[in-house]
Amino acid sequence: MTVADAKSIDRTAQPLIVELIFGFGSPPLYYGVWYPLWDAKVDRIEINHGARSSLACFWLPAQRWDSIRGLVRFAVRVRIRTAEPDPAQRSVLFLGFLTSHDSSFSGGAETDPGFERNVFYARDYRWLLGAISPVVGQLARSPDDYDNYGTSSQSPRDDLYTWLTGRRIIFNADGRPNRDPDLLKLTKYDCEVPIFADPDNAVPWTARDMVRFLLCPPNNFAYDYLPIPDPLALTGLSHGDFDAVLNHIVVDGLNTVEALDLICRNIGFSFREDYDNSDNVSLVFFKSGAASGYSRSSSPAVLHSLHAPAVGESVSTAVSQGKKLLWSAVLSRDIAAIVNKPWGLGAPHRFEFTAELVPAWLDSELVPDTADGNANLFIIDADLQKETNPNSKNYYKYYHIRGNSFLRDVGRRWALNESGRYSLAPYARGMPFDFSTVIDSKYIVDAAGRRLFAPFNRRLLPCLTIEKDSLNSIGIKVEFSFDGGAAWQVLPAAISSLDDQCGIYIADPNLAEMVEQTNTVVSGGVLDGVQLNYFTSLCDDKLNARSFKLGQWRTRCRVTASVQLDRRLARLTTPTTAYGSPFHQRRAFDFSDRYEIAKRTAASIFHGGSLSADESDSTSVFDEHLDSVRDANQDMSVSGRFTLERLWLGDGSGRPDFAVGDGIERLTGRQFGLSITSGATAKHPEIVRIVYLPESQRMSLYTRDLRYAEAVV
Amino acid sequence: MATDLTTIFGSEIKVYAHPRIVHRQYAGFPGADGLTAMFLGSRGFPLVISGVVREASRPLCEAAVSSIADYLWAAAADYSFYGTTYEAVVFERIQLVPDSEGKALHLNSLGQVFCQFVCHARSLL
Repeated sequence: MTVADAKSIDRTAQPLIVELIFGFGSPPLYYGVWYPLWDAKVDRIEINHGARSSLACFWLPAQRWDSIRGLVRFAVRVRIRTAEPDPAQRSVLFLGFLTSHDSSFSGGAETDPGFERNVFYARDYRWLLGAISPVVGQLARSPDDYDNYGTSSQSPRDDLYTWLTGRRIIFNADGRPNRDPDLLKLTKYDCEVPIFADPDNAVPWTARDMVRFLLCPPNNFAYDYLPIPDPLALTGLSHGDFDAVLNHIVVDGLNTVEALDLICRNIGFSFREDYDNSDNVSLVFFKSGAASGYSRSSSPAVLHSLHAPAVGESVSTAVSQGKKLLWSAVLSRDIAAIVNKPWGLGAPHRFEFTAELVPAWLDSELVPDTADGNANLFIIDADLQKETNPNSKNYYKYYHIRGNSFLRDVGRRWALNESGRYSLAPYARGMPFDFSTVIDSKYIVDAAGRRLFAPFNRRLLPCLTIEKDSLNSIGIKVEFSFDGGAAWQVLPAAISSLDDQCGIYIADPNLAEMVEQTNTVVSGGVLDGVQLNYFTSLCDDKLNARSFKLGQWRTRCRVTASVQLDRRLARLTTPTTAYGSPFHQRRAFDFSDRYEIAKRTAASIFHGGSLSADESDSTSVFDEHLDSVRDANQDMSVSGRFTLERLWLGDGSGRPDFAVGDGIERLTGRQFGLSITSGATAKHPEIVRIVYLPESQRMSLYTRDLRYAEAVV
Repeated sequence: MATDLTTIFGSEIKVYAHPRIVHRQYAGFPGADGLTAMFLGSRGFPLVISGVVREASRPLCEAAVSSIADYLWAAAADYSFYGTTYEAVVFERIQLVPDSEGKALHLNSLGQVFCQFVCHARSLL
């Protein structure tokens, strides 16, 4: 029936048969044979992809509005098929469950006849999967799910896992792997399932792992209706794009179908529901906008040509060739939303270097007490405890953190002076810090030699250098020198980074207890013979009237840290095709969470050392991504609705001709190409909805703008 | 068991059936020559019954027409006329046929009141 008149100009309507199987119990179980509703008329079947379930609408013309027959009950299983006598040749267009019933009637008027109508709606298996299968809690192994737990011979046991409802399902949370490297083996289903584990002993989840997890038997509450023993066997899941590692994918609280849709969108995929004529339902994954070939055995999404007869062409010629004639079409091509010159923005550049800081206090505020042969120049805390009135001592009063006239900056605040705040009087610490002295010029100086940063205050960030064991940053390293920078040492002290500028603050209560490591004394000058510590070193510089600006201070402080600068990975691509807009249409794409340049410069004390650094230069992958964004957005959008003058319900092989995900390659007859280029490949308008209209024996194909397909890098 | 149409309309009737009505949907294509035709099935065939109702008085004649009109509500059934059976017939419309002066009920010399009528029925098969 479905093929008999495909090549005849005189076509015959193709009936669709609605059949039911009743469910018994709650939740219902279905058994028995299909019961045909011969008098049912199919009004509309809408086939969708992704999370949106397909919908079928039928009605019973011989029934009054209030007569809900015993034949039709909620949750009854519904099949709509073609009418070939041979079951092997039938195409099943829809399988689902009756979910709603509308009654309507009208008494009519003179020009408006009345009516009584019973309408029934059925939704497909994706609806059921979404309705009864929420995604909550991780599957993981408890200690009891192992043999020899905690020993060197620990091994996971088959079929044992624990449902941890208190742990949210976040795949690769915060970018850290959290999949157990040992798959859970389910012997009953002969499949292996990826499950969760602590990030300390885990591997990353790929998109395929996530789908396997979501559809595995323990998570598939719809298993009695939609059995998927091994999700790995689903069509399309073997595509290489499912190898992609997706970070921080939160699906907890969604339902299974929504979660699948979220994952698929991240890699530019979608999925649909396919049926065979043995009533098997399967999920098929396909890459959006990537239909290829003409045989479903080689590709889940294939290409079609529709025929719009040329002017003067005889219809009979095209019909005799079996072409799919377009009765009407609405085709929209639009350049308004084109982006053919995308501007990609990565994260600001970050560099690790070592640089000396300047004293961020006024010299005049440091007044060493040299009376009594320097007896009160400094006092250690052990001696201060003996004092009944320590505030009588200038050292304690002004420079100890507990002093009642504490000068909080003196000796304690050091700054990079990147904005020049301390360059001029009264500080007079010299020129603002020049980042070009520590950072490779290719990152910070343009072709004309102009520096690409401005004198803004920044803040010190942890080093890119990482610890060997924990792989965490070593933080910010602060060192001091008491000999004008010849030797540097770390002083045990409480030091914090300043929030409003690059600098540090020494919060240690007693600066005199930051002693030089060789326990030496000041040589020469007023303080000759006095213990050399951080405070006395500062006093020595002051008492000898040394100038910091002229580099005469013997007390120095340097810091090794990273700093974020004013430039970032940024690139403006160039249009490459003539199919788009003649304008150079730009839009900024913020990839600052994905791409960056982070370098440990030669100016870092760790450069060339044994510690490695968490460096990155995403330039090449950033460029590739931006090119793919341009390729996906530079062509005009092509979308439309195509209505065919007959139902194309299959060729007797048991499948309808069209499926969502398929592409429309061209309109023959008028020789109207619909493909657009995307880099080196061609893309075609993708069918995202199929509507069968049996009453008028027509069908509509809805296509969408290909640029919804996300670029995957 | 088919009902004889004369038991409803009386003996002064003529009955004839039209050929089946066929429903086709034609699809044209801009610029192209020709159409495709989609056969959407037949829609049964019209059955036309015409005749005269004759009664002793005007009220009786109107009552007879009214009793015929009751069949407009009847479900599809089989009817026969002179050996021909028409299956699954429903009655759609009954009209009295007036003369050129607009008069539908006539009085004859025998004191009878009569009227001509046309009944449009349809076989659903």
